[in-house]
Amino acid sequence: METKNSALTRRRLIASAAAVPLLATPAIAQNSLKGTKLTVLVGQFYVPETNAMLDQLAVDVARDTGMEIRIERLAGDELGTKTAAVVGSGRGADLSIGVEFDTLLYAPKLADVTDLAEEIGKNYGGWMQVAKDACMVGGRWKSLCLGQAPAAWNYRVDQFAAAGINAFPDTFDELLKAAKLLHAKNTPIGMTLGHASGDGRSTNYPVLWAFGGKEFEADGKTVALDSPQTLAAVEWYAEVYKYFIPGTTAWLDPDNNQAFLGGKCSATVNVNTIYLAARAASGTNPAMKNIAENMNHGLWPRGPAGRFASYNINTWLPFASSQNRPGQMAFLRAWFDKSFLVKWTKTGQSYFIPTFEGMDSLDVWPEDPKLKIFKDLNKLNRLEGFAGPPSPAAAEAVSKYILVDMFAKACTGQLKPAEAVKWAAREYEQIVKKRAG
Amino acid sequence: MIAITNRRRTLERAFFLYLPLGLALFFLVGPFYWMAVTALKTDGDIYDGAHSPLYVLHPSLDHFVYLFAKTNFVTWTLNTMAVAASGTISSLVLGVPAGYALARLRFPGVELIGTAIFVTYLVPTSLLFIPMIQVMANIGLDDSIWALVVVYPTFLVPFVTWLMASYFRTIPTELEESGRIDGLTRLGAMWHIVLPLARPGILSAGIFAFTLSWNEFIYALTLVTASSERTIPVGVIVQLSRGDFYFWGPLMAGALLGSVPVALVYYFFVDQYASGLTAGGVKG
Repeated sequence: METKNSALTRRRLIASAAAVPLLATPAIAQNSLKGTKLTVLVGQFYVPETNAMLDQLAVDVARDTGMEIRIERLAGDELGTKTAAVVGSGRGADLSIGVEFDTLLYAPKLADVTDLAEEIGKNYGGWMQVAKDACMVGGRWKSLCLGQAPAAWNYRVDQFAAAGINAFPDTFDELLKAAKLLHAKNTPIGMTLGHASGDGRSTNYPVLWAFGGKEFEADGKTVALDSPQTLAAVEWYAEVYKYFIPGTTAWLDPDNNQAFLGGKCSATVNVNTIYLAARAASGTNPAMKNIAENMNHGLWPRGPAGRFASYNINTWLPFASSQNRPGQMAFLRAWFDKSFLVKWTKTGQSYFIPTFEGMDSLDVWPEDPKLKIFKDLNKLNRLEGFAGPPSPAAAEAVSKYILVDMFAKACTGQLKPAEAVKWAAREYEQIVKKRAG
Repeated sequence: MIAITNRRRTLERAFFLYLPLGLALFFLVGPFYWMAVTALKTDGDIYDGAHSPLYVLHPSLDHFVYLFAKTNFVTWTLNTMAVAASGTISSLVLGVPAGYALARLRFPGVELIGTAIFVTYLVPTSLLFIPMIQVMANIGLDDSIWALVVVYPTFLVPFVTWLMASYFRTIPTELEESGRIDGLTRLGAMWHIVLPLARPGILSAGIFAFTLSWNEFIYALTLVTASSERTIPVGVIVQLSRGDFYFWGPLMAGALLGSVPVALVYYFFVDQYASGLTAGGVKG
C-alpha cells in the first residue's frame, strides 16, 4: 500500500527543496513535486466565490508543481477539533487554518516559516503587529497570518433616526444614551454575552480595553484585571444591559445575526456577514432588501483609554509532521502572491482582510459605500492577554469565557459589578497559578 | 356520589396520564416539529420576526431541494447507513457470545473481565480519538471511512456485551440445563434455547448500537477528512454553515431526514421487541 511517505523519496525531496526558492508563483518549477500529496484543511469562507478561488488556486498549484492537492472544508469549531487531532496524532493534514492562539499552543508541532514570512512581509510593507503576535513564538514565525475578520457595529440607520440619533455614537456615554432611546422606541440594541467563540470575544474585550482595563501587566504573568478601570467597564455594561433585547446572555455566534435580520435588534457587534446576507437576498426578499438598504456599519465608540477592537484572526498552520514541506511552502507562496491575494481579498468584501501594513495602497477594498469603514476597522485589532504578550494563560481565559462571564454576571445581577470583577480576577489568578505550578 | 367518583377519575387521568403524556410528547416531538417547521419555511419566513415561529406561512420545499441538489447529502446518508449497519452487526456478532460467556461460564477473572469491559465503555471518545487516529494510521486506515468500520465496535462491543450479559442472567439456567440433559451441546443449547429467549435483549442492543453509531460525531469528524466519506452528523454541519452564518432551512431539513432511518428502525423493531417480550419466559 502506498503511503504519503513512500511517495517522497530522498532524491525527490532534495530536488524539491532546491526548487523551493523558484516557487514564487507564477514561477513554480514545473512538476518539481510530482508524486507528492498535500492535504489542506480550511473553513468555509462566508463569500462563496472566495472558496471557489481557493479551490482554483489548489488546481493551479497542483498543475504547476505536479503534486496532488486535497482541499477539505470544515465548519469553524469542527476545524479546531480536527486541527487538534492532527497536532496530537501527526496525521491527517499538511496545512490547516488556525485561530489566534493556535500558533502559540501548537508551536512545537509547527514548522518554522520565518524565511518565508519575512519574504512575504517585504512584499506588502511588513506584517501588522497583530500578525506578529498571533504567528511568532520565541522570535520565530511558526505560522503565517491569513487575515482577520473585522467586527463592526452593525446598526439600523432608520431606527436610530426614528429615535433621534443621526450618527452612530462616538463615545460609550453616547452609546448608553442611544440604547435608552432605542429601547423606548421598542427597537433595542443587543451585545453577545453568551459563550460564542467569535462574537463573545469580539464584543466584550473592546469594552474592557476602552475603559483602560487590562487582563495582565506587561510581563504577561501578573494579573491586572481587578482595577478601577475594569470596574468602570463592568458598571457601564450593567447599565446598558437594561436596555438590551432579552436573551443576549444566551446568544451564540449566529444569534445576533438572526435577531438583526429578523428586525428584532437595531444594533449589534458582528462581522459584515449580516449585511452581506441581507444584500445577497435583496433580489428575492423584500424584508432583507429593507434591512440592507437601511443598515450601516460603525466603529467601536471611544472610551477613556481609546478605541479598540478584537477580531477573529486566521492563520496558516504548517504542520511539522508533514512529509511534504516543499509542498507546504509552494502552496503558501502561491496563496500570498499578489496576483492571487489581492483579488481574493477584494472578492471577499472585507470579510477577511490580510494583516499587512501596506494594505491601504492595494486594490482590495470593496466599492460598496457601506463597507468602506472596514479599511479603518482593519487597524484597530488587539490580541487578548493585553497588556502582556499572547500567552497560554490568556488563551485559557478566552476558552473559559471568563471575561464574558464577568460582564454577564454583573449584567444579570448575579453579582454586583465589584464582585464580578473580583470573581474574574480570582479565575485569572487560578489559571496563572496552575500554569506556573 | 357516582358523579363525584367520575369527576375524581377524570381528574386522576388528567394528572397522572394526560399531563405526563403531554409533557413527554412536548419534549420528544417538539424538536422534530421545530425541525419540520423550519425546513418547510422560506428564508424570508425563517427571519421574519413579526410572526410566531411555530407555524409555516409560505410552505416550501426549497430547502430539501437545496439539500439534495447542492450538498452531498445522499452520499453522507449512504456512508452513515454503511458504518451504522457494519457497526451494529459486528458488535452483535462479537458482543452477544461475549455477554453469554460472562453470564454463564465460570472461569478465573470472569468478574474482573466483566467490569473491565464495562469500564472500557465508560472512557469518553474525547480522550480516545487522538490515540485512535494513530492506531488507524498504523494499520493504514487513516483518512478513510473504513476507520469508522473498525473503530465503532470498540465502543459498541463493550456496550452490547454488558447489556447482553445482564439480559442472559435473567434467563433461568434450568431451561438451558434441561436442553443439555436432552442431548444438546452448550452451543446447541445457546443457539436453540437461550438466543430465542434473548431476542428482545438482542434487538434492544442492536437498536441502541445502531443509534449510537448513526449519531456518532467525534470519530466521524477526526478520523475521516474527505467530504465524500463523511457521515450525516458531520457533513450537514460542515457544509451548511459559513462563518457565523447558518443555513437553518437546509440544516433542519438535513437533521429531519437524517433522523428518519433511526425512527424507522425503532418503529419496525420495537414491534418485534414487544412480541419477543411476551413470547419469552417460563411456563409454570
